[in-house]
Parts: sequence; C-alpha cells; structure tokens
Amino acid sequence: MVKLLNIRFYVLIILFFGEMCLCAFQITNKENLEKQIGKAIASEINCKEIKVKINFDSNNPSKINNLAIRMDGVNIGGIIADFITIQYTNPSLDYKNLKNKGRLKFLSYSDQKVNILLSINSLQNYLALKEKEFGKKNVNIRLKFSPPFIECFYDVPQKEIASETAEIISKFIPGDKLEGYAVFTLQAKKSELSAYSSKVILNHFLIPGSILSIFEKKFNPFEKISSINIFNFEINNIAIQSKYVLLTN
Amino acid sequence: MNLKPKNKLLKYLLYAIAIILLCVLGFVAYLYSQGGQKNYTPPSIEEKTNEGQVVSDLMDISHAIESYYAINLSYPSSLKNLVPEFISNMPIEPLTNRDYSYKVFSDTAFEVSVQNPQNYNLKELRVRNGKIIKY
Repeated sequence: MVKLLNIRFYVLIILFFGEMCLCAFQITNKENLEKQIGKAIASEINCKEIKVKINFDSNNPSKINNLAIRMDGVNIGGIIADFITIQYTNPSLDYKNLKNKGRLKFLSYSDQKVNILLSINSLQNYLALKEKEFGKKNVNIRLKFSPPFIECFYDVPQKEIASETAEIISKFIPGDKLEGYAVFTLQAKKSELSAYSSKVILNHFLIPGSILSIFEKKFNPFEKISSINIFNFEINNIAIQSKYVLLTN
Repeated sequence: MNLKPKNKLLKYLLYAIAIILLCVLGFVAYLYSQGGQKNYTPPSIEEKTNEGQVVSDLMDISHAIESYYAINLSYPSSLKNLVPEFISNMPIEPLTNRDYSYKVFSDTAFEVSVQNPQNYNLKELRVRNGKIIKY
C-alpha cells in the first residue's frame, strides 16, 4: 500500500514537472515567436513601435488561436495612424519563411479584424501636410470630435481657395476671408474615405444643402487608405468617438 | 377702373417679381439668422425608438471596446474602463435604465447585450465581435 502511494507520488511529481516544463517551453516559444514576428514586420513596415501578442489554444499548445499585432504611427495614404491593430483568429503561419527569411506570411486564418485609430492630432497633421502640399498659407482649421460628427472651425484667406470653389460660394464671401463652422460625418467604402456635411456656416451664412451637395460630389472620396503590404485589408466602416476616429474592415 | 389687358399683365408681372424678391430676401434672411457663432453646434440627432436606441448604444459600446483592444491588445475587464477615453458616457438601457451586459470569451471575442431582449419583443438583441444579432 505504501509502495503504491509512493509510486503515485512520483508520478504526480513527474506530471507536475512535465507540465511546468511544457509551460516554460510554451512561454519561451511564445515570446520568441512574438519577437520574430515583430522583427519581420519591422523589416517591412516603417512605424514607431510594434507589439505582438499570441494566444495559444489551451487544448493544442502548438496551435495559435489568436494573433494580435499593434503598430504605432504607420502612414496609411497620407494620414499617420496613431494605432493599427490587426487581429487574426486561428492563423497558420509559414514558420519556415519566418525563421529562414525573417518574413511574415500567413498560410491561412479564419478571421481578420483591422482596427485603425486616428486622433485629432493625426487628422490636424494630415490637414497641415495637405496645406503644405498645395502651397497654402495662413489656413487655420481646428477639429473637434462630437460623436457621431466631426466639428470643424475654419478661417481661410480667400486667395488660398481654388477659383472654381470661390465661384460657387462667391455670394457668401463679402470680405477677403472665409470664416465659419462645419459639421461632418465620415464614410468609408473599399478603403476610400468620403466626408458629408450636415451643416456649414460661412461668413455668418448657413450654406444651403444644394451647394453642399455640389462640393460633396466634387471632392469625395477625399482620401484612400492604403493597405499595408503584409496585411491585405479593406476599410469599410468608420465610427467617430470622443478621442479617436475608429476605422474597421 | 378698367385696365387694358397689357397693363393688367404688367401688374401681375410686378406682383410676381415682388413675391419672388420677398421669397429670396426671406431665404437670405433665414440663412443669415442660422449663421453666427451661437449656431456653431452640431445638428440635433433624431429621436430613436427604444429598439433603435439600444442598437445604436450596443454599436457605440462595441466600437469603444474595439478601440480599447486596438491600444491594449486585450478586452477591458469592465465597461467602466472605457469611460471617458473611448466613450464619454456609458449608455444604459432606455426601457429599464439598467446597464448593458458584457462578456469576454477567452481574449478572442466579446459580447454586449441587453439584460432581457423580450422587453423589446425580441429573442436576441446583442452585439458579438462588432456584429449586431437581432431577431
């Protein structure tokens, strides 16, 4: 009886240590894999920081059931996104490629979720870049998120707007500048961003909807979100929140 | 006094022009009255039905959770963690004034739902991983 108990005790100890070793292996394996994936992404994508998080299947330790990748400060077609997070469910990775060539390649996955966060600062910087690109000066635009709208307070010298645009709104420009307020909603379709104005006040006049629709047709879509080479995705949804604009696939 | 047909036509024309001018002036006055800094406010959002409000609330919470995940690479342990960074005020159910339910499934999925969908004459009313489930 004592002998049997002793054997049971040893078996339990062996099992305990076995599990500990497996866990330790899995942790180091997980950390190594996260590092390797991070390196592979860093070699192809220019960004401030990369964070990778892997969750293995509790029943099958060699199977990844969730892979989340966060990239900070990535350029997506002119806009620098604060955060891009891509989440893969049940991904199958090309480990050979990752180990030998340092490249991340997905053989398969059951779901891919893309979340892109844009802050007020990133949108203000985008506008500042556009001003520079078009050689505009003294353009003051201040944005504010008021879900589900974006509010825009603007003050623009008349000479800085295109002649075609000035022609359409000439009746509303008595002085030499355009000053006022606009409220927008954003829409995304096949990664193309469009802005629709619910209210525009220009030099104390509310601009009629018929004029706004001319501008909407003329300038939309105003930007295309470029996909990142390793991760192929298409943005089709936008939500405006108190601190961020959330773009999702 | 009998006016000649030509004068009569002229009179009507003048009336018509005066009416058109008044309309234009009225429209311009309306546009002017709607301008000015006191009107620098977003348009009011249409009132929704209780069910419509719940769907909108569930989607807002779901977006806030997705944003939280995008930064932290994990779902929040409670909906309270979303305020104020991702949602300014946590909505409550319009019919019962109760909090919405929130569940996380093994760090890969989340669900936000009403406590009792039957209050809205539905069997299911929830949002799972960003997708609304309503029937």
